[in-house]
Amino acid sequence: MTLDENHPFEAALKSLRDKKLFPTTLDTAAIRQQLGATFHAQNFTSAQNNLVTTLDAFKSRIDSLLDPQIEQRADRVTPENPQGNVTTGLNEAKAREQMKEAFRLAGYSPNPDDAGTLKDLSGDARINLVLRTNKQLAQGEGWWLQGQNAAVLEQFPAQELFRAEARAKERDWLSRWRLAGAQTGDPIGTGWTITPDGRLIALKDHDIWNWIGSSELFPDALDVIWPPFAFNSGMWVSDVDRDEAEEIGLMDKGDAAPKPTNIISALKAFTEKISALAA
Amino acid sequence: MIALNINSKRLTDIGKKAETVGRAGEVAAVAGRAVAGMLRDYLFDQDEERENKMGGARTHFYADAARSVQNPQVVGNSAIVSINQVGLAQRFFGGEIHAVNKTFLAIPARAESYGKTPGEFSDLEFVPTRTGGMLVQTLQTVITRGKRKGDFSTTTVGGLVMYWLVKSVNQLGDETVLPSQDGMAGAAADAAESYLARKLAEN
Repeated sequence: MTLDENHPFEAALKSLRDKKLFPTTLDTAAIRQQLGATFHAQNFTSAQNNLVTTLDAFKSRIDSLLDPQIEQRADRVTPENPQGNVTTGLNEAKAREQMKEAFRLAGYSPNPDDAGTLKDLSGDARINLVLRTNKQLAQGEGWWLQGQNAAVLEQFPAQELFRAEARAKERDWLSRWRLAGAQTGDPIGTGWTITPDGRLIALKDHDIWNWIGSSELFPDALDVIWPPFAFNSGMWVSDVDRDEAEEIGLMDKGDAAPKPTNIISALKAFTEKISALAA
Repeated sequence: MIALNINSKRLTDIGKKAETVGRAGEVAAVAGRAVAGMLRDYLFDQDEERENKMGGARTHFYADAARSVQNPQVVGNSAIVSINQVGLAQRFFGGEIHAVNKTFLAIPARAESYGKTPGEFSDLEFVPTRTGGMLVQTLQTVITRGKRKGDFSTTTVGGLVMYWLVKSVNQLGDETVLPSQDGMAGAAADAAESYLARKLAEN
């Protein structure tokens, strides 16, 4: 195990860096209604935040969180680490502190009734939400993109939706899974399933991934086909291999594996599904 | 960031076999994804098992680390998988940390200060000690008014030590924050072998 080179998560960084800043006075519901289902996949925004300097500051802090660097420092030389390599970059607490300063410099002050709530753009809860959601969206998209490889999809044709982080009030993802599955029109066991021990697994190209993160079904959803799927969900995905996919009945021997998809086609398919439901 | 160089004789042998049937690139991609997946699962498990000892709001350090794992880069017969998370290498390797560009390191002393920087508090004052110092909440008098005019009581709050300030800390390394290299190489080899066997059976 070494600590000697930078290997940035390029796919995640690209996802973040490609997004355009979009200052807005609209709230989350109005953004969805007026700007479309794939808006969040293409733009960097935060509900009712029209302070472009703070959006820019958020984006650069998240970039730093995603992309730590390695520096060489004499004070860190040890027999195990002869070059004194050390990982540097922001952590979430430092990023939050800097964002509070960015809001102060932008002249922002919350409505006194909103101070400390999610409506307070400069409060801990809101800053944490923006930092975490955008960082995780970039990581989720990066992992999805890196999985679009024919051999990888053949060996790992399915994925499991699971709870990665506990929450004080956990949303009922089992019910969401059932609802999203029903929305696809496919009966349970056909491309998506719930195992006897309660695991939520589907083929990677199954339509259920177009619905589990859709705000047409779930108001807190992020309109994406990768985790975290919804604000502050605590949910993530894990690859499931071919043998297990066959064992739980999602595939038969000889069935073709999901084909790699490019992101434009995937988002187009997502938008078409959502538009058809809304029509 | 920490980079893990995964290789084993078994992986090398599978790689050679894959090369003879023109599938070296595919097998490397599968092996790499298997390592990344195993590493992610392991780190998510650590997040569940290693709660903040002081209590308070969780930072989900290990879940963050899990999400930062990407598909490995394949270099020759090895796969290099990286974890882009500040602090993980320090936990794995251990070692002395000195304050840089400032006088002291701030070590959280209470659950309320865990996961926060001293700069996020507006009511801390520095109290020197023989070995460094501490940041203590300033004492404040809270006045509670009663129902009748002139009725009130006062309470003094604050005075809690929120951070210990030290020049340096020496952290012990903990190799169990990551799975063993043998375990990761085994996961890679299992997936690569399974993929190759399926491909050979198809022909």
